[in-house]
Amino acid sequence: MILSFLAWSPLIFGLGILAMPRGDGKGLRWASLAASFLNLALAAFLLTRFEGGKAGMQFEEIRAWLPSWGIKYHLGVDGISIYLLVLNAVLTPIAILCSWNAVTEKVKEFHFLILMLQTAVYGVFLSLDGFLFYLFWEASLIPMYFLVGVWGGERRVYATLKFVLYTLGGSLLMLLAMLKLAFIAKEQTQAFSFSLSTWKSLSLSADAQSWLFVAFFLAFAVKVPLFPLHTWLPDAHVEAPTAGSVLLAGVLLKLGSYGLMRFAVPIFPDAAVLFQRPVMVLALISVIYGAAMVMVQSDLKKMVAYTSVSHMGICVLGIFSLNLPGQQGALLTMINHGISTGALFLIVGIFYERIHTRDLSLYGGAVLKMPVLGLLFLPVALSSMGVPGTNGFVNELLVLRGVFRFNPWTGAFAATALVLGAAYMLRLTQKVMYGPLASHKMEELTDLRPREIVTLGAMVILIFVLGVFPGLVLNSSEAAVNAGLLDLLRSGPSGI
Amino acid sequence: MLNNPIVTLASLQNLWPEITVLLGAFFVLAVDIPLRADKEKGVVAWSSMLALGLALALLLRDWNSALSPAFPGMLLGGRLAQAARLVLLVIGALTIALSRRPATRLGLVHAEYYALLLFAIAAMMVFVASANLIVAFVVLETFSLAMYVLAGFNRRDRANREAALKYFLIGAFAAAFFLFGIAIFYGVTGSVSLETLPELLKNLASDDPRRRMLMAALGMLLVGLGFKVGLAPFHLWAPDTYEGAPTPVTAFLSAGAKVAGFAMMAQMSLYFPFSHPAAVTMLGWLAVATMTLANLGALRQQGIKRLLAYSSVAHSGYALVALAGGAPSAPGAVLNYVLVYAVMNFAAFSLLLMLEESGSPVTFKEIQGLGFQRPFFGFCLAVTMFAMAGIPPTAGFVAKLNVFKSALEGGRSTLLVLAVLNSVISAAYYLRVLVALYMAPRTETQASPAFGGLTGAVLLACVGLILAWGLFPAPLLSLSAF
Repeated sequence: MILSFLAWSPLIFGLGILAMPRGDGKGLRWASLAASFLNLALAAFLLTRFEGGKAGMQFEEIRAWLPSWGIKYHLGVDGISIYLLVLNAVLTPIAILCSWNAVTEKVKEFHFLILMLQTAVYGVFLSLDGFLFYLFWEASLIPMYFLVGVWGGERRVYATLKFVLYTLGGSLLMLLAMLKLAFIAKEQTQAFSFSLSTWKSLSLSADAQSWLFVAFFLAFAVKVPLFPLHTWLPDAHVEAPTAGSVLLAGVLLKLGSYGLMRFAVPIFPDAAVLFQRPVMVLALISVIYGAAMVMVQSDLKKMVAYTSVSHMGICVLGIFSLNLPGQQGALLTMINHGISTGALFLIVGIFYERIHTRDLSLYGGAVLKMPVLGLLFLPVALSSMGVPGTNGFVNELLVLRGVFRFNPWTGAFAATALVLGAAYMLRLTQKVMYGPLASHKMEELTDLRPREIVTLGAMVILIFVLGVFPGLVLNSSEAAVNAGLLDLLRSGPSGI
Repeated sequence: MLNNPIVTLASLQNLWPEITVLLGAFFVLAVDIPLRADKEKGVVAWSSMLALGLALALLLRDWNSALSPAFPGMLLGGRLAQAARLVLLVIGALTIALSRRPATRLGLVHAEYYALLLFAIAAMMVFVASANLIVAFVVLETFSLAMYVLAGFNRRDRANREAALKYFLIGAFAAAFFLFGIAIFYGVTGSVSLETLPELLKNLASDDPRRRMLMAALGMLLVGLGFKVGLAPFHLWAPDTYEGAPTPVTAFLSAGAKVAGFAMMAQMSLYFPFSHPAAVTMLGWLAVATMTLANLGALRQQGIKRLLAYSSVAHSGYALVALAGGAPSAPGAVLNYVLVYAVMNFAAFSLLLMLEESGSPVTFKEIQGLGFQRPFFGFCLAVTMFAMAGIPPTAGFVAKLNVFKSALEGGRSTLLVLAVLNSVISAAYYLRVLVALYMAPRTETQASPAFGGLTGAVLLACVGLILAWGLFPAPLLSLSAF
């Protein structure tokens, strides 16, 4: 029951907030903040009860839902998903806090949608039934559609439609593949099934695996996003309100990489091996292309958006190296990227609230006006670069180890690509923070307010905690990741 | 023959619902005589509603005993016909409920309006159970004639007249196709009863030319039905007729004709060899053309009513995808889809009626910014649009999934991929409605929807069903498990 409670409580609180009187919005903000903190406490409680070393699912809940189609309400958490749940719990209060002054219209609806999004994301991370997974997957679109479309920038309608249509296109193909799997399950076990564990145990022909894998992969690759399906991302990020960007980068992109790790690879191990090379190539292109795009942007937010393309490419590299360090690194990348890119979007939002421009040429010397931000900016930038001591270092190291084990040349190439990351982050930091004041706009900057120090400070603390103690995540995920890979070894061809 | 009379009281028993509806129609006409013309007549509307209610009660009373055919060789029994009759009765009641509020504005106060509606419903109910194609043709013409008149009922309105004339001319054309199909069918089988077909097919060699002739007959019948339900390329009348007809009539045209037409096609699929390559090709192309043309057409629309017309055609395409699959589950999936479509349709049209209260046509401009100003209205419209786009957790998603499942069972993967792409296109224009509703600034021409009365009740019921079936699909799916 604890998982259901964790997943559904934000939505229930959200409905309560809808019922509240509008007022000046302050009550609504405090109420939703309180709701998100209660949820965070629940997630923390779950974390303390979670047994880290185990491989299997914990706190499982199974209830019949649509028996004639073999659909169950089936939730569970393991070492792969537990920290993603916590990430979702952490980022939601931060999203609420960072909109404190930025969102002044339709405050009630805004907070309802943020909380609804939290429920949908929890659902995706917790579902062990394909159908349920799909429902939550699609449900996560609805709040984001409105968050970008209603509270977004000038081109918000274009951006939000593009975002929804891209994702919908990919996920409907996945739905067809899920139906096909249910039919195959019926052939082999005499009963329709959408259960992940049944799907993993099916014996699929090489041909079927390839087709179905491609359908799943497309859905997840759009979400990750992987080159060349990434074009919705810069638009959505630039137009989204700060809270939308934080959640989009922080948790929504992870739905894609989580899907690859939980569904695409384990259900279709042969196809995963078969497509390993092309996917690695796409991921490498994402890393390099994303980094190259960062360098040529003139819009601060677009820069940060493209860093996501690059970092999520690293994550896919890790997943498809199909070995323990690679996948653990990928998992860590998901969490670290959520924190560091979330923090970067917070900073962009802090700037934008003050000077209402994102034009990079107007930025420069911000540290002169905002010393506290200067203090907090540096760790975030270092984390994004992957400097030792910050969380970004560990995951890049692990992914590189995984990629080297897959193929030394690819590994060497990937390592070179990571230098690009350092290059663009250094350039960004130097341009925005240091040097003389670049324009009269910079004169208007004022230093961080206490609320901003708290949100950004919390992120920086997480950056260092995970940088120094990556074992927190790694120890509790090792068994689960290993179990997935052992399955791969057992059913896939030898030589992995 | 005297000792074996065709009509016995016992065989009539299965037809009591239809008879009740017809009696209701006559009663409505009679009760109207002493009443003053051109005035709101509650008694007429309520007595037609009562007739439908009675018919519904009778249908449910004989739910299990009516499974055997009423007149062997003439009418079919079976769950499919039962379910379709039930749905048609509900559609009739919803139409009457929607007609009450705008009756004076749209000129729907005359008793003839209700009588024609009841005639159409009774004829449709016989249609979905016809085994004999001549019977099918006669009732097809009966409900079509009623619908032509209904489409132009507000005869003072120019658009109404145009709608009716277009509908009539093309409908008459379609009837000829249907009749021609019957002629070929008779030429091949020597009978006009669908039920003789399986026996005949058993004895035909697989390369017998008569099989091909049967396909020709099927093609002609499908063209005839395709006009009624709006399959491309026979859908060209739909946008103009839907737009021009009085809005409650449009709701009835799209939902009623679709349920009747697709229930008949589903019945035919039980007898005709739909797995024949010619049939597979024909149905597949019809489905693809319908979905694609309608969805692309809808993308360019500015008027909400016209958008709904194109969307209605597109939904015919999705329903046909199941039939094109030819799996045993197809008839159930089709009926399920048109049932859910009918619910979404009535939700959409009751919303449209509320918006039209001021009398002017509704475009995207009129609904700009309404979503936040009228939260509940916006919520209902949003749910309806998400349902039409097939996004969970709505009944639209479940029904579409059911169709996809059936087509996949029939092994039509390519068709399904095309259907999925079409769903994405359709999402674009449904979401445009929401863009106007929530993401665009208010305009001066903004409509102020009047929420209330029977229209509001229809809306609540339909939106409630959409959400309830979306979250708990089991009852919906068991309705159509034949």
